[in-house]
Amino acid sequence: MEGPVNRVQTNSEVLIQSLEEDNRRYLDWLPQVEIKVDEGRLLAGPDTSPDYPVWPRPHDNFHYPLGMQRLLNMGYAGIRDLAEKNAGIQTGTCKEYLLLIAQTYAAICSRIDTFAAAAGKAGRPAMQAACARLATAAPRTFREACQAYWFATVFRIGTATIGRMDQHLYPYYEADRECGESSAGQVRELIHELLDRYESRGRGVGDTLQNITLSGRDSSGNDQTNPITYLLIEEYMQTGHIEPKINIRVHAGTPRRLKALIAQMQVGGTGNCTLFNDDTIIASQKSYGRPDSVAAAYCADGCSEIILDGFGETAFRYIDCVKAIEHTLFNGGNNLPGKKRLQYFDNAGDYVKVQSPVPDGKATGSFLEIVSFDAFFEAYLAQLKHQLEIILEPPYNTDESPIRAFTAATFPGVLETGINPFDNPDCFHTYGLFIGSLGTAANSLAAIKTLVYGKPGLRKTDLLEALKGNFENQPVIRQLCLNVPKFGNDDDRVDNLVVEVAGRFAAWVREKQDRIGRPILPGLYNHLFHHTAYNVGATPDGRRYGDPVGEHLSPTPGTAQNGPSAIINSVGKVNTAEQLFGSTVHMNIPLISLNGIEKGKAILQALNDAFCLKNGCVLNTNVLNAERLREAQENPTGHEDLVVRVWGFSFYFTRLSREMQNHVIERAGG
Amino acid sequence: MRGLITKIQKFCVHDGPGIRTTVFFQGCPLRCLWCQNPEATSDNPQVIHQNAQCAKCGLCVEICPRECFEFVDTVVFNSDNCDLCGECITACPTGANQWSSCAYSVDAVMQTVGRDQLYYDLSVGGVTLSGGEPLRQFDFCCALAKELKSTGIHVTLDTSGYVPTNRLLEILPAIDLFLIDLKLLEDDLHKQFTGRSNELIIENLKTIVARNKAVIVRIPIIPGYTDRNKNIEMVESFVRELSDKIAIEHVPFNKLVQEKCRLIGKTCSIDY
Repeated sequence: MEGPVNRVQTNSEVLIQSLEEDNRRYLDWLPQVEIKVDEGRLLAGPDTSPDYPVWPRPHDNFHYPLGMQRLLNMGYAGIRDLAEKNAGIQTGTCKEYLLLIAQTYAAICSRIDTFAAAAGKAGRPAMQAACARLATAAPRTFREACQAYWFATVFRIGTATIGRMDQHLYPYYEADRECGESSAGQVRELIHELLDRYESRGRGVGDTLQNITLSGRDSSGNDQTNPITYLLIEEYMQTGHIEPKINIRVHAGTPRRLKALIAQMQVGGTGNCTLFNDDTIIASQKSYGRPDSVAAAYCADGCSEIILDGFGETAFRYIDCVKAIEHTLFNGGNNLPGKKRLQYFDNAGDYVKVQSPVPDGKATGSFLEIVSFDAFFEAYLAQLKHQLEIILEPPYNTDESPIRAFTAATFPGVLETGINPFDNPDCFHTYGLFIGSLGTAANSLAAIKTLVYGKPGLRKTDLLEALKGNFENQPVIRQLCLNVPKFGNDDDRVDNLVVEVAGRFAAWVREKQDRIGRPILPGLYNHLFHHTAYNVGATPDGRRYGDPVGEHLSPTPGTAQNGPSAIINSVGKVNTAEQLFGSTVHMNIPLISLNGIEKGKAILQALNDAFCLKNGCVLNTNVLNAERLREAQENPTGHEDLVVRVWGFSFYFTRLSREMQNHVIERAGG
Repeated sequence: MRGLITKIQKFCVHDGPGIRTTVFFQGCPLRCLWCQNPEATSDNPQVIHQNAQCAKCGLCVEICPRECFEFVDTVVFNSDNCDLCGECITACPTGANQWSSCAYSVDAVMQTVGRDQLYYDLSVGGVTLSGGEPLRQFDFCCALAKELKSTGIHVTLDTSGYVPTNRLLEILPAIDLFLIDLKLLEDDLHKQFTGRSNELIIENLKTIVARNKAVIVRIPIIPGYTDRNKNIEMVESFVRELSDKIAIEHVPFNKLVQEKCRLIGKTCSIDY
């Protein structure tokens, strides 16, 4: 349950001081936003935001959307005015907080007015009128709403998740239609321009968090697909861009036309269409005590976790369940052959250190003395719990890093009370704890159960030696390990281990709260799967150091040998509804398995439906062609447009590092 | 009753409509030079050696009394002298040596294929009986087809057509769709490349069509054997004359056949 806030509902002095400092920087930064009123563009404003004097991460991790509906309803000027008005009513730090918001929004209105003047000077009357309106009032037309949308994107500074764009913009489309303001062609042009601008804003980086969430059902179960949903998808498919990333909410009543479009996007093979199953997710949100209307307003985070659209911030951490296997086998110790620095992309300077959530495990006893699989499993759970306790120790947010005034003002209750979102009872906080790559961990547990404690009677010392030597010169032991059932093949012997660990994890996390009594939400996700592969030595499933681990709730690449239906059957055994922060499955299908584009679309639709009927949570389908991937790796020329799914985003295959390319090729069964 | 099944493969989309599970039977009356499933031609299980699972421990090289295995960088299997004693299978610690098929009861097959019923329902798919020639194990095939039909699962029979007509008629009510290979219309070539005449196959095709059953005639396009324009035109024209309701599919040659032959210790009979 969301639960009561444990501290006084006000703002600390530290928070106000931090925000004052940030506001000063922000107001200095704002005039640097370039005044662009280009010919050939319908919307004013630059595509990108100027650099901020300090990296804004302490104030905004960009993984949650603005309260865009609120911003559009009130307009920039409306927020300024309400903050000023309520500052006159409130006292103390609440008053100070509201004055900071009013100051920010006054500066924004002034900057928008400058755009209006520039547009007038450049002979762009429609653009001038839209900007002039936004400098003083809320948008009324579709064009004004799009202009407000783009200004908000630029004024937020970083590239961020966008939220339910079709729901935000639809009322303005309807209003225009009623009064004949914008033609269908103009609406399409505006949407196309917004999409173009997100692509340009992304600068070809890939992991920009620019996620759009479309469609879904409301709290009464009514489908919310609207004409903007279709326009956004159709225009997006025309662009061939990698930005923004498209996420679509589906449910039992999703229209057939939308389902067909989803399959059409999927068969294109870019992995840039992720499905979110409303029927599982909304029930899951409600089970945590979130009101119906809030639960129905969820959307995709910057990757593919589940957050709320405009109700508050998010933050997340993770524990490494594959590492916990190693900790259990080596009594809390490590079995790493070396230290690794990684590249995600092909730009040589961009190396990162392999991250590990905890340096060491717990001493759970020598593996040689663990007499049964049940005892081994309990020791393994103790290792996970140990990581969890360490990871959850520090607070998820601090007053030294408050949410920037521009963003905070768009969240519920903030303008009314002057209480910042961390402490505001009307806001909802999505603080997540991930455990991902569970399939890989379960494969190892199954190997230990089968080979060591089962009939083959593999000696523990032999297994440990093989693992220490990364299976070099141990081909028989490695083959035995590889032959044990693997997650993703609809085999209860290993799938049930995933079910068991996931259930225990959810139960533990449910008992946890952050420092002010907000729940911590469990999720089966691992955006750092690439790190995990180099943070763990060889594992009993036959995996060698550096070989890939499963992404999120997906099978280990290359181990799902029975096709997508078996993957969905395996995943369907896991109670993903209790994993409130999301459980994402990457399903890779070789193009050849679909028997042509037309049959492929029908097959993909059936798989999407099956995933939802099996209570799956989040599905990303990547149609891959292993042959083309290998060819593109060796000869990138001619394959520059080949886009593949990475983790929460899709990106150009040839621009990934060789290691990441190998990971994707493994997924394709290559 | 049990049947010898070489493989039950999930998520097949090339052997009939929708998402299907294909059950591959051991045994076939034909000996097509290009056979895509050579491990399934014999009526008895064969030894197969899977290089991918081989740890190169050499135990099979040591233990085989007929010296079917030798070490040349890797373990090489030649089944010419194999008498199916199975010692290599018992000795192999990693499961690289296996029998090509296992005995299944109808219930066991139903249990496995039933796990994907949802996908058949959603995609208008079902189960395909293939091989080998499924009707070579007639009683088992018939019992399985009837059981599938009784549970509402769409049944496709992928057959060579080289079966006694009375048996075909017996199983006919349990089959929703027939996939029949018509490889070559010229009978002398058919005999030369498959070891059998095509007369019975053509008669059976006519029998099925006469009973208004759904049929897809498949022409395997084998370079140098069946891919001549003349052959393809002859087969297509024959089928069209038979009925305009019969769909015709060209099945591309699968180069994996060489790997499949290596698996059973044989050399591929055709060059490509």
